[in-house]
Amino acid sequence: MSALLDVRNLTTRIPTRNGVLTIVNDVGFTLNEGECFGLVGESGSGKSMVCRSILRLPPTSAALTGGQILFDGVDLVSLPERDLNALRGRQIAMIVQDAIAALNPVLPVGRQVAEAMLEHGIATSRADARERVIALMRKVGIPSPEARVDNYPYEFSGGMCQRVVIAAALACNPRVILADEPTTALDVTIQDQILKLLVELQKDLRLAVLLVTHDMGVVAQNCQRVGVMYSGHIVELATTQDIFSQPRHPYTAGLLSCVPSIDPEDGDRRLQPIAGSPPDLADPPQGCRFHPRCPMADTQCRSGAFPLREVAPGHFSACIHHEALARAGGVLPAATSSATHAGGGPA
Amino acid sequence: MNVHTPPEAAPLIDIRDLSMSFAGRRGLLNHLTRSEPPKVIAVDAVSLQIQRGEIFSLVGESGSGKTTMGRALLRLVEPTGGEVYFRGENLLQFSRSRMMEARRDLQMIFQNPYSSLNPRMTVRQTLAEALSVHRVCPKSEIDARVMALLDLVGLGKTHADRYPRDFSGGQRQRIGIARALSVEPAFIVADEPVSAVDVSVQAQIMNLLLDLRERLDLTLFFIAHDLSVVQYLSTRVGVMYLGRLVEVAPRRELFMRPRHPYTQGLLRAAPRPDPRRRSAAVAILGEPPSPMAPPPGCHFHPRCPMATDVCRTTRPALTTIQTGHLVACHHHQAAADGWTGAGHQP
Ligand SMILES: Nc1ncnc2c1ncn2[C@@H]1O[C@H](COP(=O)(O)OP(=O)(O)OP(=O)(O)O)[C@@H](O)[C@H]1O
Ligand SMILES: Nc1ncnc2c1ncn2[C@@H]1O[C@H](COP(=O)(O)OP(=O)(O)OP(=O)(O)O)[C@@H](O)[C@H]1O
Ligand SMILES: [Mg+2]
Ligand SMILES: [Mg+2]
Repeated sequence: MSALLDVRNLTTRIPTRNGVLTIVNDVGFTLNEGECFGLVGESGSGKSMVCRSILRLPPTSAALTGGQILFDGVDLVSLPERDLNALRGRQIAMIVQDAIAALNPVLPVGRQVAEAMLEHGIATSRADARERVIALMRKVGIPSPEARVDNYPYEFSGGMCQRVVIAAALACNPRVILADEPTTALDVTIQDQILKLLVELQKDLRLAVLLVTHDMGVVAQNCQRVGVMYSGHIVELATTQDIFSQPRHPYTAGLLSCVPSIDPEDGDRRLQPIAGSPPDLADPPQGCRFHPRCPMADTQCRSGAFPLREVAPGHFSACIHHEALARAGGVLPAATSSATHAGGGPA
Repeated sequence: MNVHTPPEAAPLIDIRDLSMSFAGRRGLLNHLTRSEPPKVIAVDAVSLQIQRGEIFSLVGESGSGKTTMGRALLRLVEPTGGEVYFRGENLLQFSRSRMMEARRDLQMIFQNPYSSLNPRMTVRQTLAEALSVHRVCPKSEIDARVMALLDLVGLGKTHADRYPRDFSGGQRQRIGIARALSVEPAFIVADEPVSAVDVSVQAQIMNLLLDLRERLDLTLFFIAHDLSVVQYLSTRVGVMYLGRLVEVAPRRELFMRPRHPYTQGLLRAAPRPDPRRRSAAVAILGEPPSPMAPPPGCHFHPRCPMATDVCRTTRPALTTIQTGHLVACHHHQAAADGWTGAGHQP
């Protein structure tokens, strides 16, 4: 299967008062047709910036300084702005976290869904667009769309707004959807509905979905493969099964040991928080960026580069101790207290 | 995690028919027709006892009334009905000065500690102020107390003279906890203290709360919407829907044998961090109705797969169906019989 979207060595820098920050650092992954690929990591790790960089939508001060983004073989990085515009919203659409903010408050929702269709010549007339919008709204589960098509965003709940945003994303039959935390602002029962809708659409329409989330549960339930981001890097990339059953990077293992279980049968195992907090991008540690928080770190980890390497078929890790971690069954040694002031809590 | 208080022990907090309603906003239509805007009954006659040493968690979706419940029972808003007994005395009849004194025993931790911390005060000043307002200790001991508090929540000396903006989200939450603990309260309402932080910080804060409860004999009323957080932390759990308590049970019982279709749906909707157990069907259809026009009978009936005529007309009472397990559902028996776990077959 050849990749529909092939991101290679993506690097994005932002100049700030504290110097130039490398927000996305040598990131690579592929996204196949009909696949849901998860991008997971803590707040500030660079997930949103990856999405924005793919569409060349970072803040104006940001510069894509390296890499390639091949969409169906065409490099988006070197594509003239006009050609990229023809792709944005047409072939590659984005869904953001805050649906209510993404919608224009003074335009009826139907007009907003129709906009891209008219712009990209998908609909032939306003009447045609209206018909298509109503069909789309029905498809994404908005009840009585004929009546709702002329309503304004404030007349919808948060969950219904997110459905409208999904309808707008689907308007031009895109092949790729970049979904940046599409359910983070929603209640769990609505999140469940929206994610199941997305997965169903992804299967029916053979969409390639990049699902950005910080929730390991959302990854486990919805993605075929996952990339784990830390401080601008992808530190591990594998199938969802492998990530959960045999993590090969201590950060991934750490994340997993922080997630409480909903099932009392899993026992009263005490959670093992990752010590400390993520590095300041203005002053990142040398070597592996995770080493100051890593219970497996040794002197080798404190200098040099740590690129992703294939450590098992289809399983990539940036950790030089991945074998030791695999031998330990993906379980980290107990954290040493020296690593932390913020972590662990009082003994 | 098993704090078993014999049932005859007097509860630390005894809430009886607590209600809180807000006047809705007056719209143009109300002006024109001189009609009253609809009321929102944010908390609808909730009764609940909390024993010393418990971590009682309240869960429910956005707008179900969790925050209002927490604030009303501490009298941070004036409830519109009911009683709250603290060590046998009705808080709602306390005079201003009595209430001021009682505040020392009744503290709150907020979701967003940043907005509740004074940005112009260092951590030392914030904690020292709390200590001196409530005259917790002699002036000469304040400094030592501040240091002990920082140590208690896992912060160091180096943090004392910094301002809130110099801390990470997790550290600010620790400061909020230190401030609440400074006055040695008997009871703390924690309103979603881990909802806005990353999982690693969430785990740190939850472990901290568990340690503190053990060491300081605290009683916690913990508000959350994440069921796995609640599973990890609680001794007992209450589930709220549109202002009403629909189920209360000890933690294990609630997660193993939920008897309200809403609780069951919440458990099925939570995404499990286990790719081998994926769920296919949507857990609960529809959306919560408007709190300004809640449906008659059981509030949950429009979304409930088991609803029948009686559910559309008659409010089910919260009834004890086995020691410590209360449920407000006309069909709780059928719901319990139909429960086969959170499902998640492929
Ligand atoms: N305009 C900007 N100027 C400077 N730094 C920025 C800017 N935008 C983002 N950043 C920084 O880039 C990093 C990555 O941000 P990004 O929004 O991609 O993170 P994220 O992984 O999406 O986090 P979250 O889970 O909170 O959404 C953060 O450290 C952030 O502070
Ligand atoms: N000051 C107020 N004035 C009017 N209505 C209010 C006020 N405070 C809360 N409400 C309403 O009361 C209901 C319950 O709100 P509350 O904040 O207690 O819910 P919650 O369960 O804490 O929700 P969340 O999970 O979003 O924090 C909501 O319908 C809300 O709009
Ligand atoms: Mg983001
Ligand atoms: Mg609240």
